[in-house]
Amino acid sequence: MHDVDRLFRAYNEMLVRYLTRRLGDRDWAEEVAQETFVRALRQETMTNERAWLFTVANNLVRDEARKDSRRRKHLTLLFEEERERVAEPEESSMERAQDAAMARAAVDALAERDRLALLMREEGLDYSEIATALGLSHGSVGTTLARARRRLVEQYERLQQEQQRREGNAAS
Amino acid sequence: MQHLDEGTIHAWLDGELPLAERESAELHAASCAECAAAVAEARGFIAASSRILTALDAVPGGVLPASTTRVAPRPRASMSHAWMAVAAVLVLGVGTVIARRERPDLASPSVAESRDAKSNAAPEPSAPFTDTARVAAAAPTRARRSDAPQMANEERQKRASTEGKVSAKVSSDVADRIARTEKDESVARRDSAPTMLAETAPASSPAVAGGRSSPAAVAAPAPQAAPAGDTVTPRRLMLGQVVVTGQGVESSNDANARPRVVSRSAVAAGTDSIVTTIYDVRGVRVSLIERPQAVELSQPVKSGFNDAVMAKARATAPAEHSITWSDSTGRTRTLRGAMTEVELERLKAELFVATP
Repeated sequence: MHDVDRLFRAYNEMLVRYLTRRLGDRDWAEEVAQETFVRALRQETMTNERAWLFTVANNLVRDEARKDSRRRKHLTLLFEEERERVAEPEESSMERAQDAAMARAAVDALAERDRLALLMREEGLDYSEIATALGLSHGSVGTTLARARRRLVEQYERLQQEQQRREGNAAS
Repeated sequence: MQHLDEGTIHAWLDGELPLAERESAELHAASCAECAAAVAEARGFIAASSRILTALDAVPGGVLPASTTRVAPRPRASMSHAWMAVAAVLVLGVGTVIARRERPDLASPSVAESRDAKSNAAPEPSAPFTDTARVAAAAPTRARRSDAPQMANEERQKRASTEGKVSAKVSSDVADRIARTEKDESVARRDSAPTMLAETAPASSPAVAGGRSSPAAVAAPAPQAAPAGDTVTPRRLMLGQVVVTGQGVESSNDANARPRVVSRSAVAAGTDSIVTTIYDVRGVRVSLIERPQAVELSQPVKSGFNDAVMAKARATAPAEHSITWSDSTGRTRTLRGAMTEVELERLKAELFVATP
């Protein structure tokens, strides 16, 4: 068994942030992080703690996503309906929400592997750890990240331009 | 020399190129305008993508509206139940030192885990995540390539320093909250915790045994060596992170009884340390935290427990108060426990007669 207390203190914050960015829901992210540490309790040894935790978290998300995809889709539909009923928020938060939604859309437009590599890198994982967590060769991590960053930024800029065009049309 | 490919440039900027390759890349970029431009562009991508990802952070939890979550709540029960197992062990982790040596024969990840890792690497449709994508995140910032590099670096540094400054309060508070939640949670966990205690420590962990104990980082008023006991192993001590002893002490209700040390722990905080001592003060657990003044305990640190767990823990906990003061030694001390501030002041006087 690992000294889970130390693991928790060392990695919980980054793991939750990573999962929140990935899932778009902090509660869900925290649940997955918690379950990851539960798994760590059962693990005798880890050759690389951080890579192990991120790998397990990735697997948990994947497994739960499969299990609940139908229910989640249903909820999303309900959520969309609910959002349409809700009054328009003030302008500043609207703008922020738009930016956030664009960021989310741009991230989600990435291929799964690119997205995970990018999010893990943002949490400070080195190339070896990312390679371990994603089953990549060390040499291909740079290429994966280069592609992911370029696509993310390009996609985000595209969405921004669309948004500006829409705003321009609305104004004229 | 061949032009630098994009992957190499990113690996270089990420500090992941071996020395020889890095030197050769630097040499080439210095003399090749095309590659120099590609490096500049890559810097922009790195910084901008970092900014875009930051916009995802302020996502509120429970973003599904209440009416929909009532229709079909998320599958939370199994996980939160499982988390209680972690909770129990975290409590032990704070209260006791577990003697355990790594087994070299298990030094590699399990076959199943490796297989998982491989299968996970295969590209998969991400429909479920796309579904949640429309959930609006709060407080995003537009990515601007011009200012992004500096911002990204600052963010990294800030994050690194934050992560480095995890104070003792985190683990102890976490353990405390768990202990409280533990009290009215499932019987099954009660069954498991004592078993683990029996394996790992001769006496009960204070956090579990005390129930109301409030282990937080505290200073030992009169320094005395923590009784390490047989359960401390060199391996754990080498971590330099947590050195904890746990001695189950029967609570005393004798009005004249002196406060007794139940446990003491120290957590590194830079070159200094944060010391936590748990006292049994006539049946009430009180924690004393001693820290260098530079260490800010009130820094909000996300515990990682979901709001429901935290709310429950707060609801079941007895009312606690705390007093904080600094003394001539340059250290800041906090006394916290389920007693009034007047009583805490009295206790302070009792504990620090000799060392004001």
